Amino acid sequence: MGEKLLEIKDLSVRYTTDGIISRAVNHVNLDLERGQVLGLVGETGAGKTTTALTILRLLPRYTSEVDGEVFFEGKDILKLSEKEVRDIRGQKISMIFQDPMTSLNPVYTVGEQIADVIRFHNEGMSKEDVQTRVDEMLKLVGIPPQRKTEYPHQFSGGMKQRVMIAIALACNPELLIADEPTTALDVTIQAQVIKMMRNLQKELNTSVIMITHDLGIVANFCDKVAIMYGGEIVESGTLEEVFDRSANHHPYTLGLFGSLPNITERTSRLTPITGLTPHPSELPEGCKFHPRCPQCMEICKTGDNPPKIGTDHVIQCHLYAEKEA
Amino acid sequence: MSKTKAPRLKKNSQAAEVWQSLIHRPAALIALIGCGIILFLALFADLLVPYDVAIRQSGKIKLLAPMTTDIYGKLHLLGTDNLGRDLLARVIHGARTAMEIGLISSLISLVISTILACMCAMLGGWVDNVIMRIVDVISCVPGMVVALAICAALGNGIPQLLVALTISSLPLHVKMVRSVALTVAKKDFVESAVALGAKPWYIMVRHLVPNLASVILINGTAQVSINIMQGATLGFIGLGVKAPTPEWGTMLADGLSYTMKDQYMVYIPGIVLCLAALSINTLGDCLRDALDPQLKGKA
Amino acid sequence: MLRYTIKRILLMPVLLLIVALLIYLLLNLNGADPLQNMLPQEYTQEQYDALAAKYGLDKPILVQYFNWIKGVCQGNLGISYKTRGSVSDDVFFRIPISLKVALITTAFMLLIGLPLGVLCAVKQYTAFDDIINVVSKFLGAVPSFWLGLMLMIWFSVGLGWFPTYGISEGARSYVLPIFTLLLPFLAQFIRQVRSAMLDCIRQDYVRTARAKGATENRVIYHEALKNAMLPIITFAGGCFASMIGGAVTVEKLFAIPGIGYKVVEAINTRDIPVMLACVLFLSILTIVVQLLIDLSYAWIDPRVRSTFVSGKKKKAPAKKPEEVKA
Repeated sequence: MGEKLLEIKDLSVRYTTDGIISRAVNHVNLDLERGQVLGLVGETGAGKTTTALTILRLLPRYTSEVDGEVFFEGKDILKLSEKEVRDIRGQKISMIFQDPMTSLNPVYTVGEQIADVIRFHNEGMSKEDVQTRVDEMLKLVGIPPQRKTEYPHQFSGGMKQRVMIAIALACNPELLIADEPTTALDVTIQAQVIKMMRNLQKELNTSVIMITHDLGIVANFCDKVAIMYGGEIVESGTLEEVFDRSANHHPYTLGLFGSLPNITERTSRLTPITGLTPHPSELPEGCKFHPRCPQCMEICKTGDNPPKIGTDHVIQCHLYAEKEA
Repeated sequence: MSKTKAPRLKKNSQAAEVWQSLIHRPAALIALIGCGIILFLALFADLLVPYDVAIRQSGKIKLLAPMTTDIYGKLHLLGTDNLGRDLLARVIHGARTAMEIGLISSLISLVISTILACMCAMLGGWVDNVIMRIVDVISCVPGMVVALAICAALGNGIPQLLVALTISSLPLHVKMVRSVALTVAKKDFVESAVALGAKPWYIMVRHLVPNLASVILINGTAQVSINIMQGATLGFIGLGVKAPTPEWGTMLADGLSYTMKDQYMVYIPGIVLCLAALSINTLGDCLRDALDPQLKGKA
Repeated sequence: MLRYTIKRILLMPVLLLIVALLIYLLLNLNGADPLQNMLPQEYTQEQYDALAAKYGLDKPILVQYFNWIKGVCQGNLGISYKTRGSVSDDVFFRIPISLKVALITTAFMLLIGLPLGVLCAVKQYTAFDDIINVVSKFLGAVPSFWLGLMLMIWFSVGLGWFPTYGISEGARSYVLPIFTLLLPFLAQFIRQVRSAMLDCIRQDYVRTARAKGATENRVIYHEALKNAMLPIITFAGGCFASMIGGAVTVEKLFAIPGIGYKVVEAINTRDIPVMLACVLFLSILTIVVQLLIDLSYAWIDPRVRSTFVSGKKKKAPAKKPEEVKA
């Protein structure tokens, strides 16, 4: 399909606060082609948001350290100047955040906030053209353009998120990063927003990184899947490969799928994954999942990370290494 | 079955943690020492220097510069004032006056405003309205003017000063504590307590007040220094404590006539006031920093 | 919006009446008899009664109060116990002087404090911030009257640049008083601005703005500052109200013939009508300032504004589930 749109190589991010080092992202590798939708799955604290913020260089300046490379359209974003990064933000790569309630500035109208992103990247555009585009975007996300003079607090959560989507897509970006866009919304609104995003993605051929912990959304929307745990990608592959029950999977993936309640079977208890997600400042040695893994072996508890097995469908686990050997 | 490593639980009490963070910051440590000194002087003033020395006038040894020995052979570290009173003694006893004024009025004000704020938050309705209207009326008049009016009406003296300062500092406190109390009262655990049949008083004491502790503490320390200053200001104007009670503000007023010569009369009480205010303010700031992350719920 | 403003304006006299009543009672019930000072050493009962009737002091307190209020509404503030002259003559000319001092001080506080506070917030972990922090802590701890005295010693007595008292030398005589009043407030104001800005900079919508490609300047001035203005303005208004009270000491120190000076003098001489007039004026000023602050809130924050849009309710478009483009 040609040159990859996004290639993340060996990315690691460390936060330092009050002397405590949190290793939020550890040697992550990801890639994405044009028009593809990648689902980045994991629990809270797995490092998904940090990875996303790193792509746009939105990490806090003084408390974070980044190693690795993030290639976008062939250039390493981490090495670009501030101005070059600003040009990319909102125009080539856009991001929508988790909580629509606080992500919009309460003292400016919705129309102004959409117009902002258009004006940042189109200096010469006339006022009328900007407004036309604002109206277009509002119509695109299903909001009547007359409402552009209203303030964020006059919109419901779902509509605020749609405004965010309008802002994100206003300059027709190549890549959209959506960080749990529906987590803060009601289930019915979730479905609407996801459906809208899917349609827009198909229409505009935007690449999307969909960060979520909801496997249902992944099934509905994504082409590829990457599963994160403890700041690492423990399994990745196409949607079919990861969702294929008969294939091999990382024990964490199995746990995730296993913990989903099955609507057709009757059970008296759910099957969670035992234990708690480790805090990034207290990651276990060896395989980061080993304390919670039902198939934990001696080799998992110490030493380096488990090897990555496979080419397209990659699993980071000792289990399958043995089998191959 | 592999055991999961349980997350490390913080076992220290909040007070111990705050203390820890305070003594590890140099600024806080200095402020603590400063406040400690003032408190010490206030508590043990009589042991250090007899009160009599601070108020005994003597025409023969007046206006001696600091570090001079008088005709009786006594060394005056800070000199004497225009009535022959030893300034060091007056400063030390002034510390006691300042602490009396500052601490007591703040304490009373805090207790009253906490009770009122809790009543507003728990009982709401007309109680809240009435209390807030009263507070509004008091805050119509600038605080200093309220204190002035009360002092004018009641005369000079420490009890009157206490009343004046308490009343003038009430509106601000009540408003601040009330706003926090309202937020806490809306929280789910309060609702649960009500649903379980707890009486308003019980909820107030058991649930509201502990959560208000941070606000009260921070405001309280700030108020102590403000009240000391206001007391000094009132003393400077001529209201406030009765002569010859040593008080730093009145001492400054005495110094007004000495801007050309014997300027130590102006410098000494002023510097003492500054240092006191600085210590208390810094302590308040550091307390706020120490309590803040817990206020905001960060680790 | 209009309705709310009108409601507040109507409330003002009510509040004032209550305040006036309280002060009136407070000052008159402490047993001190002003008439004693006005009569010669030995006086007859008739002389006493005549004087009492002249000042209306023979009537019960509440009647006195109502008479006074009646007088105020007609512009008559009574007769000073001390000078026997009209209180209005004594008091009115002082109002512009005190106002001048307070307004100029507030203006400077805003002009200097806002930029410095914002800069401190922006340069949070740098030396600039630390230095300004330390300096403002010191300035905030200095008692204003002592600061005034020090400035007087250094600049008036020492260098002779400014007069030590009075307003006879025009603008120059205002320099030291304004400076004295300004510095402690400026210190607090800078820290307040800084703290408000820091809070806003941490908000999610700032992150959104950055993600849109906004420059740092835009983020700070356009996105964060406008939101920070709310707490900042409240604080500034509170400062202005405090300045009116704080001007009392400054006026006494530099002998500026303003309202504050008169209040102190009146208190010391137990000149109750003058005291009442001064307190009344100060209260009016405070209430007006509070009202202006509340109104400015509505002007800046659309959330507050929409709470007060009464009467004409906008016809909200029928909220049907929006049709998403297939």
